[in-house]
Amino acid sequence: MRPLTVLDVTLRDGGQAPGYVFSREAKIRLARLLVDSGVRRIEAGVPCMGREEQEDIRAVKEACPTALVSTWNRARRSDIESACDCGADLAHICMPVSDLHIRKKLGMEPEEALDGYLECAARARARGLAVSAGFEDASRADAGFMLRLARALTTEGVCRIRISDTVGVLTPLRTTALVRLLVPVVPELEIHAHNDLGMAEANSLCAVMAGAGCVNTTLSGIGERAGNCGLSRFARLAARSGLFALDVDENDAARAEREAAPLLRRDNGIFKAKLRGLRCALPVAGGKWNTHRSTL
Amino acid sequence: MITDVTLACLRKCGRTAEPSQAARWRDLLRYIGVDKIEDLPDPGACTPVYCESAADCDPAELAALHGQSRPTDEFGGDLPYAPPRNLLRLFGLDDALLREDFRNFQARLRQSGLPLEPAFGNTFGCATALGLTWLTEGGEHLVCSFAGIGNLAPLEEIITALHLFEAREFPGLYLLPRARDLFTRLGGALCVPIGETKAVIGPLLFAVESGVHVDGLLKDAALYEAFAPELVGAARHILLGAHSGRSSVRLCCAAAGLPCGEGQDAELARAVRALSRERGRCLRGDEFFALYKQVCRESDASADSA
Repeated sequence: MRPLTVLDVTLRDGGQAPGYVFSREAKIRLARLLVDSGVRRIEAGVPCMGREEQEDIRAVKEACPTALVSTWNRARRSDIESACDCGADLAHICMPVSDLHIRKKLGMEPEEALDGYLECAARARARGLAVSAGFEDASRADAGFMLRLARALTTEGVCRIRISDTVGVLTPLRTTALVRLLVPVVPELEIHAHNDLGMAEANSLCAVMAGAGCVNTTLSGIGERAGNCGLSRFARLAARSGLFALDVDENDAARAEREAAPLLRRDNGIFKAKLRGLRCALPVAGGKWNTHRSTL
Repeated sequence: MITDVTLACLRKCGRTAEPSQAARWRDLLRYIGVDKIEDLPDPGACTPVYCESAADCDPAELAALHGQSRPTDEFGGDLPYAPPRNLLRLFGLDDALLREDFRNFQARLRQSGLPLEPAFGNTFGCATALGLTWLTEGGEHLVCSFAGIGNLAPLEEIITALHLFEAREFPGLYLLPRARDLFTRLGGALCVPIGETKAVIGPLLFAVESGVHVDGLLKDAALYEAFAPELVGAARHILLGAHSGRSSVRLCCAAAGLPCGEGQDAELARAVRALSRERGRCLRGDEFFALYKQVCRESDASADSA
């Protein structure tokens, strides 16, 4: 059986889903539950959000010294500086790779972006950080660009590449093809799947079958929009396939999710009020004022 | 051809729809573009077979069950034979994706020449992936149910994926929220609860809070959405919470007609994050308004003193 590792992103991707707010105590409790269930890699937060978040990450690392605690960062100098200040073991740098993201979000040309990513990875390495790179929106990106970037990052000493299905449009067949493309040129490949079409776990399984060595999960599958690959659901799949030695036992993962349930309550504030039909007298505080219909 | 068996699954859960409601369900799904809406299984149209595991599924055995094997005389000669024309509805196969060769397995089934209509089981959460692969690789028929009731592939996920990837048009996808509401009224949500962020039909699927995502959505909604919310009759919601950034704050101020200058937005975003963390939830409108007044008063006062 092939060894397989889970990297849990509950504290980062799970926590940034609308309605979830984790206090420091909650983050530490969740991290401990994850470690107790066998998870060895935890993405603990986004240092550029500020001092408090950095302190949260430090507290998580102190509470779980055996876990490999990583941070999520944009490919910016300021983010890398923030990542150095929070005691994490590894800095994950998000690198948009689709034309859409590079041009519309970053306002750059692909070549310019590629140079910037490499410079950023080199800077982080020079600051003594272990670095992993995340190919944001990999499911809609040009394969040639990803291959070039993956090769260059590997030369730069990046220890892992993450394929992020940012909008959840991968299918089992496309996942398999994408992983097979990148596996030969990177030290370790990681899959980050979203559940927009109900295929997060299936795509993650197809990715590891095609050669990925690490799977991103969240407790109960919480995350942006329809969520991420669920920890216990994936542990169950991996166990039943009989093909992988996952570092998390399916029963331990299920127990961690049960115990974490009270901490994973979602409170959307305004929506609760709206659903109850409440309206506030203040001119800007009606049920709809911060609910924007899609005419952005 | 997509067959919806939601009404039959509801009946199995003890939630038999009134004839008028069943008619509404059929009309709604027909508008959406579903090919066949089945109320009661027609034994003349399909033969049900259950294969618990893909490992036990042998096309030769299926052919024998379906009467596809050519009868022979005592000397091995062919006897007159008319193959059955009804579909072979194949339930189960929940674990098909757990096989490394699941694609070959499906190909063998298709190449068997049997008129198969799989109803993939969803015990491992893989029925959508199995169903989509089956259809995209050349399978003709698939059985689904709304929200996956009856442990089948969720209809809404299959048809949305086909619409997006296979240029198969479902003109009434925008009616999915109405289907969700009718499904709830029929008691389906008691059998299969529909979460706030259930794929495709969750009422809060398109809610966004994090600063990075809101900033991206303002630049181009396609950055963080696989499809426009309107496609599935949904709406985008932007919330203010512990992960909100300047873009969210500026957007909310603009929506409320409040001026928000450079510097103020960063300060306001910090205040929003702090209050959200303190309250442990997203902010309500009145809370944001109070924060806005407080931040603006402070920045005006500091400007006056300068």
